[in-house]
Amino acid sequence: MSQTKRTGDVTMDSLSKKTGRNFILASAFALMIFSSYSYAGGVIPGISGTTVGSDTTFNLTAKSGYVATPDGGSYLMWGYADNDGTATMQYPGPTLIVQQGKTVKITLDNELPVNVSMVFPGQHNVIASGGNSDGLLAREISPAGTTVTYTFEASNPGTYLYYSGTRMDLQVEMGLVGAIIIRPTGYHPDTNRIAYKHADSAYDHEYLFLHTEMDPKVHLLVEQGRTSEIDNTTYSPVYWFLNGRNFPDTLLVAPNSELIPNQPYNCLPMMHPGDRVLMRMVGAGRDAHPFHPHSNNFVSIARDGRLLQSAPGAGADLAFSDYNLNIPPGSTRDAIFEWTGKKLGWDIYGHDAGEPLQPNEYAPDHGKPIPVTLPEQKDLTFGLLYSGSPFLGGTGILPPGTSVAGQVLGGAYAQIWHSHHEKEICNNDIFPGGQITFMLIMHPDVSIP
Amino acid sequence: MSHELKNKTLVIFVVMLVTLALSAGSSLAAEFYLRAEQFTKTMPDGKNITMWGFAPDSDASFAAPTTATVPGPALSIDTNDPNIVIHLKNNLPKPVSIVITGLITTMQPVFFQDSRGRRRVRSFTHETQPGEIGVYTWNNLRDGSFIYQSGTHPAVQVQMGLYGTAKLEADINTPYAGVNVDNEMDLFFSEIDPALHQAVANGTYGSTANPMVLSENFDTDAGSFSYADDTFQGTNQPGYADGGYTPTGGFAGGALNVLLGGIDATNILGMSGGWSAVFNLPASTDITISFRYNLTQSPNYESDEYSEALVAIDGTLYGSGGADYLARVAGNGEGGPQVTTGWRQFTVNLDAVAAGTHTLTIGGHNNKKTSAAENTEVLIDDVMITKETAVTMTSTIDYDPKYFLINGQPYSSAAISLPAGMSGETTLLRFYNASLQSHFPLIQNLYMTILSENGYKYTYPKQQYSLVLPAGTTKDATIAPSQDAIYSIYDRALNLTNAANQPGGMMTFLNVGNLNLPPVISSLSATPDIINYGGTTQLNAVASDPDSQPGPLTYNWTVTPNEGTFNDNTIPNPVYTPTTAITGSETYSIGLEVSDTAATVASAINITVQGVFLQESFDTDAAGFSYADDNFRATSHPAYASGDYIAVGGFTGGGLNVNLAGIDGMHILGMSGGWSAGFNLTSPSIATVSFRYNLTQSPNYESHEYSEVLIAVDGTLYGSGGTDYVARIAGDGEGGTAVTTGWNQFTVDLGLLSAGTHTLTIGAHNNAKTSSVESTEMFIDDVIVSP
Repeated sequence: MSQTKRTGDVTMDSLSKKTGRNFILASAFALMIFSSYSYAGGVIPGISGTTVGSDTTFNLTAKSGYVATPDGGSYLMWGYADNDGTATMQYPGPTLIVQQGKTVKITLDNELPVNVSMVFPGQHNVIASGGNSDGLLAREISPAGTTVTYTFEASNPGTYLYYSGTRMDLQVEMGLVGAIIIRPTGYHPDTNRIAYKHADSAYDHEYLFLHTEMDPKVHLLVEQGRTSEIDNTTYSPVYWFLNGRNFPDTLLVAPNSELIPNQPYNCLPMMHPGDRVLMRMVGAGRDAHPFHPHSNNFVSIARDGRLLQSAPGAGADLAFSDYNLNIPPGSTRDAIFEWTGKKLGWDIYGHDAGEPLQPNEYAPDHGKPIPVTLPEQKDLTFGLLYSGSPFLGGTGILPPGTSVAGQVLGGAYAQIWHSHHEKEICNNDIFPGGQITFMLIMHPDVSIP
Repeated sequence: MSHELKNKTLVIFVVMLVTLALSAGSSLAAEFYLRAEQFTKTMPDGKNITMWGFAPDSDASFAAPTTATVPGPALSIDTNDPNIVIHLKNNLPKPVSIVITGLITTMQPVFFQDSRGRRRVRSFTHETQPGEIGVYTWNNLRDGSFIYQSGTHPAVQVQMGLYGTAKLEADINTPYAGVNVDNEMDLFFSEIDPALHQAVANGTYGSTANPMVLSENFDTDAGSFSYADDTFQGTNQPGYADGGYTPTGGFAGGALNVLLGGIDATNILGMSGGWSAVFNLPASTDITISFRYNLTQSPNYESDEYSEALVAIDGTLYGSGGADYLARVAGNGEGGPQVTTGWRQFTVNLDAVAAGTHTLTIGGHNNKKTSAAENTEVLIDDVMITKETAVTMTSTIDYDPKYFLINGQPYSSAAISLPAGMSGETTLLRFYNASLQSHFPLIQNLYMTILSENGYKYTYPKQQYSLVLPAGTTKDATIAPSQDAIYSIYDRALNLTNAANQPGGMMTFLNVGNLNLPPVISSLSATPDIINYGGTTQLNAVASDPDSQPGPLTYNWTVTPNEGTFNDNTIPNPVYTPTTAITGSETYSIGLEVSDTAATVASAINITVQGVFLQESFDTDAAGFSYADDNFRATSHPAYASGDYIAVGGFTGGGLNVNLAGIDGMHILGMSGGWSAGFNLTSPSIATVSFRYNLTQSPNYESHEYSEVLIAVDGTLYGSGGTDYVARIAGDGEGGTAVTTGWNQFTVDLGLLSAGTHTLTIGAHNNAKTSSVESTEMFIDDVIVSP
């Protein structure tokens, strides 16, 4: 495909000769998430508690702290902190990752000035012990009160959530929310990544998309001790979050104890062409958010922690393909996303004829030229993520002063994924922001952290 | 529709607070009688909401002693019936109708033309006018859960409460063919925006704006207008002014005209004429006046000769651009063309025009004409006066609900859980949403099998613990709890407040297994909670039983330590009286147990009783008080002062008295006497003293002869109003009447007193007497020195 070679184009081969097969991606660049991380590629960060025998125990404390918004805002939040870890208030609370069949025991302490509790939609027979009083929906702990322990059996795998069952209209807004992932029996992080006990839920990488929103005036009134002035019926959010962050912080390195110490989770999905990506979507706020991935449909496989199946054991036989999925509040949705560039009609790698296929490459398009005459540099404007080459893994010379983010990513394709309530992709009236992130489709040679 | 009408059974389910279910169950028509009525619904925070709702009735006389509810009566319909017939009596001030969303029938929409001439739909089907009875029929029945609602102006009328459930099934507990359940229940979601209800109640919603006061288009005659010469600018040339009606030449159709000038070559200064109409305002009102005019000067006027179009209300001119005229045109000289404004529309808003009769005058004025060919015409058309009503709302664009209801009730502490079968049984939950936004019912500790949507059964039911319930939608789901328990259901959009008060909103509880729920004590108060010994406090408890079973609530009040009495310790609001005198301050714990016979809950509140340093009511003797002469104002006339204990004549029972003066005809200056008692403080204390007194001077005292009530502690006098006496009365002269204070209570803060013994003295002083019939008597009762 010499006819499409560009001046200054760097082929994968030439790039790999310069840098080695594995691109060096660690960078001081604020956008980057690639740094040393203890978990394997594409696994949702969270806490697994302490497992002794059949019991898995977590120790959480409800605390207050501040979250940062990308427009410079800093807002009082209430959140669950992991007493066995950082003990830092975090938004959202720790993602609790447990094995199916374990008895989950969550002990909650309280450093907030109000009663708090936890509820676990989708779990059966939640039993509470300790605590100070019976709330309407759950056993509660009073300020600096006696710890309350919630116990349930993780009987069904899936994606779930937890949140405060005390004055929910306020406390959910204040940040007392988090995700629960129950891994099915048979799951293995290296050899058998499945979301449910069926191969239809197998995946290569999993990402959490926990949706929340925030009305700052509620947080300011709480901070000023004017809780009695809060009128839930005038609620009007202006910030929207994925995993507790607003774009562009969704892309920021995680955790980031310096800049946003109370928002440890980012939201930056990555994949290679042909990988199966499990999207675990959680509606933890109070509004529904239609989540819309660009570049391909997904296949919706589960709701509220249950496979979309016609009968037990049938697999996700009622799964459906869609491009926009409404995530109702309090509910969860799981979907599988795949992308190969199939039927684009051109070779995403810019291969020359005779070069070997990349893994999962769509063979009929192999070696097909990109059907446009690529403009010269002087006719281009350069976006933040452009690598200088339109081809996956390709890089090219960029004008001085241009963002090198695209090159650092090794010519990844960055596909915007966002809420299709378009006002929700703003931070307090500033676009872009809110529920935006990017799926980075990486060259197969780039390892996914 | 069947002509064989059958009486239907009115079955009352006590499923919710009160849900009336109308059951059909016939093999003929499912026939119902409903009335549309206005009623008031009280929210848990006390807010009263004007609602429109449906009331169940039994026959065509529509005279059943029933009331409207929200949601309306639950219609239970056997789909083996050939059709549904609803007879609707409209007792509302607006036309209404009934549609069942999702059931196909022949609709007869009602159209109207809006102000821009567009044909628009007002009602999805035929309306029933106020006071009338309408009949609505559906022939194509199918199984499912449906909402019936008003089909007329539904943006307002549905929100006002004209909605209810229509449950269609072929067999009891068989919601769809092949689906069998053990129990069925409704969960009906709706909302209230109080502002909309208030606007409808006030008649200020939407189309009631700007009612017409006066409107004339002069297409047939001059209407209520009459013409007069010289109506403006003080002119007096009736011979050069005229007015008439013209059937053509108006802006559209006919018009009024005013003609000035012309006639002859005489030079004339100042001509005017105008058309007047009278209108009446029943109350002070903002009004808007608008009309069209067209002012034309003929050729030949000079530039100093001008004409004006004018409008006046009650003689006051209104103009545009700061002038007092609407428009003015001036001549352009001999041989020039005519000058005209062309047709213009003038509008003026007048604020707070007084109630009563007013006169509107529209016409013209010409300052000068010098020729028979110089004439002026003013044409007038389309005069309107509208009253500006305070329109609070014209649509639901600013819809802002404050109350969120399930089965017509927002959650409150008095909410009752819903019986939902037993564990091991399958219960059908029929979800309905008649509100204007989506809700997200979530059930804790259970999964639901989502069966159907809008009466269409899903091929593959799905397991979910929550569901999306869009506005106007119904969904059916089953639960099959394996354990008896209370299961909570709430809107996960967190509409869980009643206005700003929490908890509230869309939250309810399913009672599986008919479990007893303990009573709830939602408030416990004592008014006041700090009392002096001898006083009482009003206790008040508010308690409710979430499930109203197994028995009515009983109350049992106790006090710890066992001190004091209740007037009735088995009622929610007894009066508590401490019985043992104390000298310090004691805190008693008042306990309350509330029982529904199966479960008892307890609560307590603390009462602080402040003891007294000294307290005497003199009902048996003078107690610790002793009398002495001359203890005030340094008097020294012991013979004219005395004091006694009296067994009757106190404020209640006995008391003390002090008698001054009288005795003889001597002129005496300065007499006093008082009663003293000591009280002891174990530590420095702030003390208050109070007592009752009644001071009387006999007739005949002169006006400069006065008597006083005095109180001293350790010799220091305490008075009222900046004086050193408690009360003072003076004589009204020879032959006058007795002067008395009557019984009064006096309380004074003594401030901080040191520890040790103090002496309290209460008595009277008389400055002068000149006769044996001038005497002063004072009574003392109920002395209390307290912290």
